[in-house]
Amino acid sequence: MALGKIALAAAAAVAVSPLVVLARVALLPPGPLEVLSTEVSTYGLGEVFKHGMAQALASSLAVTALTVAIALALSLPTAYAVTRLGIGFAALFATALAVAFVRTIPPSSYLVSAYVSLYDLGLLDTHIGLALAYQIYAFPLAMWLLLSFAADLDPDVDSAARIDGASPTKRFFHIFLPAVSPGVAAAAVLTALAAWGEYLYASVLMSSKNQTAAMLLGSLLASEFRSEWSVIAAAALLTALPPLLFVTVAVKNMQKLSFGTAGGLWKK
Amino acid sequence: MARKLAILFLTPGIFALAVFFAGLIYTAYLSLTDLKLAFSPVANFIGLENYVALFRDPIFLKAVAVTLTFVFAAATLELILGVSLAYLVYNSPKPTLYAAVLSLPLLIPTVSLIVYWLAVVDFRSGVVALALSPLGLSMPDFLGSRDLALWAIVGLDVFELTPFVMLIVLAGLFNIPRDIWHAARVDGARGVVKFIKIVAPMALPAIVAAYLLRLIDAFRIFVKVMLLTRGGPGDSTYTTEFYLYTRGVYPLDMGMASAVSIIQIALVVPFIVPYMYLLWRLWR
Repeated sequence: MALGKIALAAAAAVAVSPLVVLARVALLPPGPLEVLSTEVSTYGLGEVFKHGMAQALASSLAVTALTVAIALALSLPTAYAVTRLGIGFAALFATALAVAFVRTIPPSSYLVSAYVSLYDLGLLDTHIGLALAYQIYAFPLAMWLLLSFAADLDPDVDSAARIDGASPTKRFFHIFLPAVSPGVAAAAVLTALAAWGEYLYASVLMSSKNQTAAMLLGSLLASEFRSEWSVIAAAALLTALPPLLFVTVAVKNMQKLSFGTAGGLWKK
Repeated sequence: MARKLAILFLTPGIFALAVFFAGLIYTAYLSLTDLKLAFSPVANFIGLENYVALFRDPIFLKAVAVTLTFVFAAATLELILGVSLAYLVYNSPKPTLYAAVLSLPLLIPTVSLIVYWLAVVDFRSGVVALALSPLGLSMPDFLGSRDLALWAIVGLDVFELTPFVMLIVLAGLFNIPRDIWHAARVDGARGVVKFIKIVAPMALPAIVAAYLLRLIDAFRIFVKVMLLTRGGPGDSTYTTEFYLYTRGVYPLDMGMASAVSIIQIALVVPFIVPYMYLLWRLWR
């Protein structure tokens, strides 16, 4: 199947090309777009940091961290209760369907609601406000993943602990959380990815004072910098690196987790 | 006591769900008012006036047409490419490695991919233009052309989200029991024919789920439109989200923005219903 091998190799090259192209263009000297040039310059990087890149990255980091923390705090106890605390299969099913439904609504259709709510709460232009609004992206994702992971656990382990007299709170922290940690890692990664690069909500609910990396890139593209290829590419590259780093770290840790006995013993 | 604790644990997630449903109802209510936050915090009931105005606005109707064209074109292309890639990856010597590499576009923020795409489709010195020029071919100005701009956006969406379809279909393929594969080989079916006749039907739930999910999610293209074309040239890439932002949220005309939001949900519902049904069937 030589054709298949060629197609796969080509697809792989295409998939990797954004990083290659962005890196090449980010390091171009000021001037027209010359992808094939071999000149290297830090003009783009310098300019981008002069225009608030560091603050924007910090802002994105704060919002993303808050978003992930809130999403997990909302999802984990509920995932535990619905699957382990004798609530019943019908409740699990209903929760799953409700979560699936919320996930399918276009987030832009919630924007008005989010704006008016944050406006009334005085949380416009705050990191916590945006993180709360981002639950529209993050919560259905996290809840869905954790429901699946929780439903897959072996019920006997939790039952044994309950019979032994352990309270639900103890079982939640000492049995459930370690057992779903791969799910927690997956949920953290996916919600972080969603929050980090999001543009629509950020541009409406935050001012340029607290702008996220995505907002900075957007404003550069809307300004005279759009034709300064090395500047926009530098901003694009710097915006892309933290999530890639985060995913790499998470995947390395997930592999460690799945080889440990914590998850393995308690899976059905 | 156990009951009380159970309710305590349930509360966070159920509360979040309740907030989302309340938000939907609130948006529906606001769509029947004339709330314009730039002028007054008071929302007066005006019935279906917002909806009537929208259906009378040729730009809104154009936005709906553009959005639906985009949704179907992007999702269908992603389906075809995604299934093909899943097949190739499944049969490759190192599926996990290939799947990981091919998923890279999903991990890069869309805003960064937009800059990449600008450098690729630039008709004078972009990557594609450079690749074509030794062949004596030149590239049309996609982003500057009324007829082609939307396809430039479709192209970026396909680049970014084909791996999404590939991953879902791959998961479906890996779920097929080995005996099915072996039975297919014993029967003498070869390669692509084997795939279409035997494997694809078993992976069909995954394929259908991936297609429906893409159709549902394809409505989320605001950032690509805003940063690549701003709805232009003319109104050739004006989508419902873009309309919602520029004519609703930006001028703080919340009443009208809510109406657009509700209409958008109505447009997605024909895809949500089969998707929920599919989940129901799979969970049974």
